[in-house]
Amino acid sequence: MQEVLQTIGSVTGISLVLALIITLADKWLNDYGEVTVDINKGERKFKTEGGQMLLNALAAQKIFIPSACGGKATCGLCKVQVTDGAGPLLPTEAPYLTAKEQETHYRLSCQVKLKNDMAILIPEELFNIKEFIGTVEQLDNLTHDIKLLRIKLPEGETIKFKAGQFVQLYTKPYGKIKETVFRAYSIASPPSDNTHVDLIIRLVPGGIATGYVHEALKVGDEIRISGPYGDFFLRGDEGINELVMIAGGSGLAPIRSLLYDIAEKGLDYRIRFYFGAVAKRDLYAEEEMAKLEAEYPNFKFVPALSSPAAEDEWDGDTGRITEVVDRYVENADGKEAYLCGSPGMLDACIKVLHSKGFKDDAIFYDKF
Amino acid sequence: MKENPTDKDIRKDMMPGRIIADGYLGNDERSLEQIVNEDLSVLSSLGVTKEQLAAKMQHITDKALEGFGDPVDVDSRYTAQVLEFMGFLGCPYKDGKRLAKRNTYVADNETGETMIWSDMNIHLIKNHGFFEGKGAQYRLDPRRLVSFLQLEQETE
Repeated sequence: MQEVLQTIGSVTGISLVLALIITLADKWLNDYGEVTVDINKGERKFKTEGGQMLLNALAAQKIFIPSACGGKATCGLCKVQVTDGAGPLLPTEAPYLTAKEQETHYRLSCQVKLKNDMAILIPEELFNIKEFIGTVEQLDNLTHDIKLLRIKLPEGETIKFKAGQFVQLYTKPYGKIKETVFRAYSIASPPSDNTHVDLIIRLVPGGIATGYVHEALKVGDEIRISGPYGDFFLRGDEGINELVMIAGGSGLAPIRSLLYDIAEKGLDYRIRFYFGAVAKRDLYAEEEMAKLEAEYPNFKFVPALSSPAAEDEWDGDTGRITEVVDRYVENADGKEAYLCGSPGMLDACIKVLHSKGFKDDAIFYDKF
Repeated sequence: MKENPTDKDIRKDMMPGRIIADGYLGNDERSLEQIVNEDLSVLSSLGVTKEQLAAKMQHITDKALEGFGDPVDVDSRYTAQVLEFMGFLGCPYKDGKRLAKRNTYVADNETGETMIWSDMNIHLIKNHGFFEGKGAQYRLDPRRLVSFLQLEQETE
C-alpha cells in the first residue's frame, strides 16, 4: 500500500514540476517585451506590450481601423500597410489581399501579432475616427426580428459622418459571453443629427452582437461605439440624375440615412427605393417612407413581398426583389445604384443591374 | 485523449462567445479528435463519406437559395428555405474560409421530419469531418442526417 502511495506521490510530483516548467517556458517564449509602433514614418509613435494583435494595440491608442467582424479575419476590412516588422503573411490573411496588396505589404491588422518593433502606414482620415460612450435612448421593435437602436452621444460630443457610413458597436459580457466583441452596423440616422446614432439591427440566430442588442441591452444602458467608417456614401457623379436603391431586412439602415440627407440638402435626384421582404411581418418603416415621399416628390418607395400571407391583404408589388428590380429598372442611363443586404441578395441584384447595363463603378454597396 | 496545441487553439475559438454565441462544442467534453473520429466512424459504418453528405446538403441549400427566403421544392422530396443575414463567419479551424451567415431549413415532405443546417455546418463536415459537439446549437447527428438525406439507400 505504501509503495502504491509513494508511486502516486512521485508521479504527481513529476507532473507538477513538468506543468510548472511548461508554464514558465510558455511565459518566457511568448514574452515579446515592449515594442514600438511607428505610424506614417514617424508622424506618430507609441510603445506597447508585445504579443497583442496590431488592430487591438492601435485601438488602445484610440486609432480605430475599420473592422466589421471583430478581428476574426472574415471581413477583410482592417488592412494596413506594414512596412517593417510584420513577419510572413498568414493563410488567414491571404484570401483578402490581392497580389498587388501583398506586394505592397498590406496585411490584416487583426492577424498581425506585435512581436517586435513595427512600422505601418495608414490613411490620414483614420485619425479622425472617434470613440463614444453613448446611452441607449430608444430600443424599439421594428419587426419580429429587427430593432431600432437609438444612441444618444455624451453631452457636448458630436459625430461627423457621411450618410451611408457605419460604426462599430462594442458589446459587454452577457450570459455565456465572457468577452467584448465588436461588429459593424450602418448608421440609419442622417448626418444632420450629429448628437445621435440610429442603428437598425436584425437578430441573427447564434449572433453574439445582435443577441446582445436584442436580449441584453436596455434603454438607459451605456453603450460604446466608434466611427465613422466606410466608403459607402453618395457619389452622385456627373450626369447622374437617378438613384436606384435596393435593400432587404436591416439593409434599410444606410439607405434611410442617405434618403434623409438627400431630402434635407434638397438634391435633385429621381429616387426609386426597392425594398424586399417575404411577408408583411418583415416590412417596416412604411409610414416613414410615405412621409418622405410626400416631402420629396422625386422619391418613390417600392416595397415588395415575395410571399405575402393571406392575412396580409397585400395589394402592393409582389415577387422576389430581383424580379421587382428587373420589372421597373429599364436601363442604366444616368443612374447609380446603392445596395444593402445579405451577400446572396447583393450578388443576385448586382447580376440584374449588370443585365440592365450598369457598370461596376456605378454600383455601390457594403458587403459585410 | 490529450489535445495538441493547435486543437487547443481551435477549441478556444469553438467556445461560446468567440465566433457564435453558443459555440460549437455544447456540453461535449471529448477532445476534438475524439468527436470527429467517432462521428466519422458512424458515417463509415453507414457507407457514406463526409464529402457525399456535404454535397447533398449543399445541393439542397443551393436550390433553396433560388427562393430568396421563400420555400422551394427540392427534388420533389424536400421543402427547403434559406434565411440569410448580413456578415460572414470565419471557420474555427482557421483555414482562411469565411462563410455566409446562412441557415437552411429543410422539411421532408414524406415524413414531415425537419432539419436545419448552416453554411458553416456544410463546410465543417466536408473539410474537417466535424459535426459539432453534443449539445451544441447546430450539432448534426450523422446517423440522423444520413437517414434524412436518404443517403443510406443510395449507397446500398
